[in-house]
Amino acid sequence: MKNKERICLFVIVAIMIGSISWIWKSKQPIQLRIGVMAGSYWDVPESDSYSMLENVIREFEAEHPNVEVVYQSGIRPEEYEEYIAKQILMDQIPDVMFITSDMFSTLSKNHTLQKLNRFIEQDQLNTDAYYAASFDEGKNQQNVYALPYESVPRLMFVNKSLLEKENIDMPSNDWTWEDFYEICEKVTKDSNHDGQIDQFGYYGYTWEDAVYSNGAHIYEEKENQVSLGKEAVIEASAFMRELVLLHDEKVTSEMFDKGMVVFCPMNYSNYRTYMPYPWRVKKYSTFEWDCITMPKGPSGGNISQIDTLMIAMSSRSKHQDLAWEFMKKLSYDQTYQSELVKSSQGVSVLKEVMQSSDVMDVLKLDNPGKSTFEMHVLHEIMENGVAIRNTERYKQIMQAAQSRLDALMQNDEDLENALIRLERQLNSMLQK
Amino acid sequence: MNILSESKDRLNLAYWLMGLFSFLQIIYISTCIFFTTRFLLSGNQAYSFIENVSVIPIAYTKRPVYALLGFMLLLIAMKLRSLLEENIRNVLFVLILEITICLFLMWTISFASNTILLFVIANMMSMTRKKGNKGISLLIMVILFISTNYDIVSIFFPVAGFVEYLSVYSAQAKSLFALVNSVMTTSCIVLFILYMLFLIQDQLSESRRIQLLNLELKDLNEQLKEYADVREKMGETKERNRLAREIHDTLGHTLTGLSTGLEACQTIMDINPELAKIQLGVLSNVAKDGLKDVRRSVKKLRPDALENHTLKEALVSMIDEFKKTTGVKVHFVCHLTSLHFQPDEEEAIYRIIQEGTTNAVRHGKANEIYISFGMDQNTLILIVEDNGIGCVNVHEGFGLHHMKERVELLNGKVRCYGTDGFVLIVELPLREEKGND
Repeated sequence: MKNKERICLFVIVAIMIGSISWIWKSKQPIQLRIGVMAGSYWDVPESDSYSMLENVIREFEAEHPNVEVVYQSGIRPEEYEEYIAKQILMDQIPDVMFITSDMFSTLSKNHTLQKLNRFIEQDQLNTDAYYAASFDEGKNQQNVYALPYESVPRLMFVNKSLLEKENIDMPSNDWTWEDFYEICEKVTKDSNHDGQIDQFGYYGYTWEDAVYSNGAHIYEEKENQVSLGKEAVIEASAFMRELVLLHDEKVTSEMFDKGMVVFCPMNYSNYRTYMPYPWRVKKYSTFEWDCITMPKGPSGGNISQIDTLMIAMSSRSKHQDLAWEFMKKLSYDQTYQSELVKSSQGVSVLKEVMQSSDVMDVLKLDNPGKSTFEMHVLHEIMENGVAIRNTERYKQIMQAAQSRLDALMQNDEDLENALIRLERQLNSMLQK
Repeated sequence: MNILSESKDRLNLAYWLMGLFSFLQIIYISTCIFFTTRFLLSGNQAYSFIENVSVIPIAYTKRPVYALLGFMLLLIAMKLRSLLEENIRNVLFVLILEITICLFLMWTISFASNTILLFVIANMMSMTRKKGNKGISLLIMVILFISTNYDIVSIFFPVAGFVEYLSVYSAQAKSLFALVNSVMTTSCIVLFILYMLFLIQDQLSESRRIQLLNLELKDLNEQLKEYADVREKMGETKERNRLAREIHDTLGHTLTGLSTGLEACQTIMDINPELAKIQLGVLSNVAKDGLKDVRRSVKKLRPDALENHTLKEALVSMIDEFKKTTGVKVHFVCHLTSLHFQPDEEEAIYRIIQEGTTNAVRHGKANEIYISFGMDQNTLILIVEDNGIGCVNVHEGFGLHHMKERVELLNGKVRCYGTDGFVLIVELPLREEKGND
């Protein structure tokens, strides 16, 4: 009897202590930690990187009085990966963190990131509101691990001054490979007759650009297979071979900066940064320039590769519902996404935002009159674009293929056979 | 050297050394991981490390704590094994508990070592007594030991391996760390083998000792049997001597007297027939007295039961005793008003029933026996029937032969049939009741 009483007393005391500590804990403010980098991920200067985040935090804290949102400021983009890795090692992963496409594959594979399928189903989040290319970036084998935050498509920069000098009209936004080749061929010459070619057609246009704009894909992630033998890839390779033949000399980025090259693919973020004042003066000041879409291949479209900055949730977070609410605010809230397009160098990941006239007006205002790039084209580019894949596998494949492709562009081997052979090699490498 | 000679001590020494080594290994690995993580945090290799591991590692600060806690829990579980009664439920319970704790421990050290399982196996081998329990537990543990090897675990289960942690160091440092780990693993295995060797040796010497004891017991048993035989023989001799003395004292005496008297009668018959007549009368009396003496002697040799009881009482008590000793059902049916016969007849009846029931059990393996008495005119009919295996050709043994002799002396008949059980029918013509002489 005595023992029983003692046990009863012990249980009651334990329950009391437990409930008191639980109540005390629930009264404590909840801390939601955010992992964010200072400055622009897109490698362009940015003045006030936290202002937009601060706005979101203010509203979020007002809606959830018991929650305190904190972040560590001053982590530069180049340090960001390391910062997140250290947080992982210390078991202090931020509840919500910004994720670049480079980091995505590693972090989703090692379960740092929480699968979001459950939250999406619960909230019946309309994923069709996002651009497919932006949203797909956060997926790994049908599982969603991150929501898109900001996208940047690849655009073709055009040296307008050079075109004017050669009496060539600015190409339209649905221009084709032929147009591209024709202009390149026309401008490539020795303009001051010193025996050296000093005008070039393009710089930095890659085989991948050609393949994507011809509607083909290099690597099927689901089947873990490379497909290079397809007609579209062979076409793109043939086109690249012709382009390469145009330039005997090696073209460098300085040549573009000096105004010697007509075309150079660059990210939208560059356009957004260097087109308006004050940056406009700093770079490309010797010539007039503008942007257009990527040229269209015969079986493709004006397709750009799109890079996306994402937000993800830690799988170890104790406040996943709050984290999800916060993520939704950043990614899915039209007000903030509009604000983002206006203040940042990227494109919103929401279709509706990019179609709103209000946003378009603001973007146009930023441009000093001379740019003819029409902002509504951005919507089409985003609709048609393909998500770039910076996964480890993809990088491996491209690394392994690059030298062979380079050689292939230079010689006159039969393309179809060579590509099929390369495809076989890469696939057998992937099987290992 | 002294310690090693005592089998119990060397067993304990190997056991605890093994425990110590596996514990040290766990502590070694968890501290290695702890300081490697500290090193990663201070440098710039964190992201490249994270890229290499397939899963986010356990928080480095928690590892040593988990390791200590897990080891203590394991010791408690192992103690529990020796405290709990050994039945299949408890054995399974302890086994599952130990396996869970071991898996937890191995998880905290990224499956870099599984020697802790050897320690648990050693504990189990010496604590479990029943062969079946031991076999099953050992099988499970061995399978677990094989499958918890890092190379196998990492195929099915993402682990931030010890090797990956070591990969941040230079090649030399890496091989040094790995060397220490493998030396510890090897010593644990060697100690385990030693422990098992000692255990088997102990068990062998134990069974040899038991064998010796068994042999001694067998010897004693045989001696006892011999002694019993001697006792029986002595009893037999004593009985024979008594018989001889009885015959000598009574018959011998009377017959000697008779033969001498008759010789004298022969001599005086012609001289004095009158005296011879008187003498013959005297001799007749002597013969009668001798007969009485013989009767008295024979009476002494009668079964004890008949000595002081009536036949019915003796039969009932014998059957009761028989039932008790053999467990056979005996049905005794008597259609007679009284069971009172001449002493020699009674004895014959008693012996027949004794012999019949004994045969039914000994040869027929019966478990039910029917005994019935009946009377046909002046003949007693006695039937002993059983449900045993019977026999087609009745082989007359000593018992049956003796019985026949006995019955024939009384002018009776014995028949027996062995086709359906065994049936023994005895017909015994009864003599007229004469006065008690």
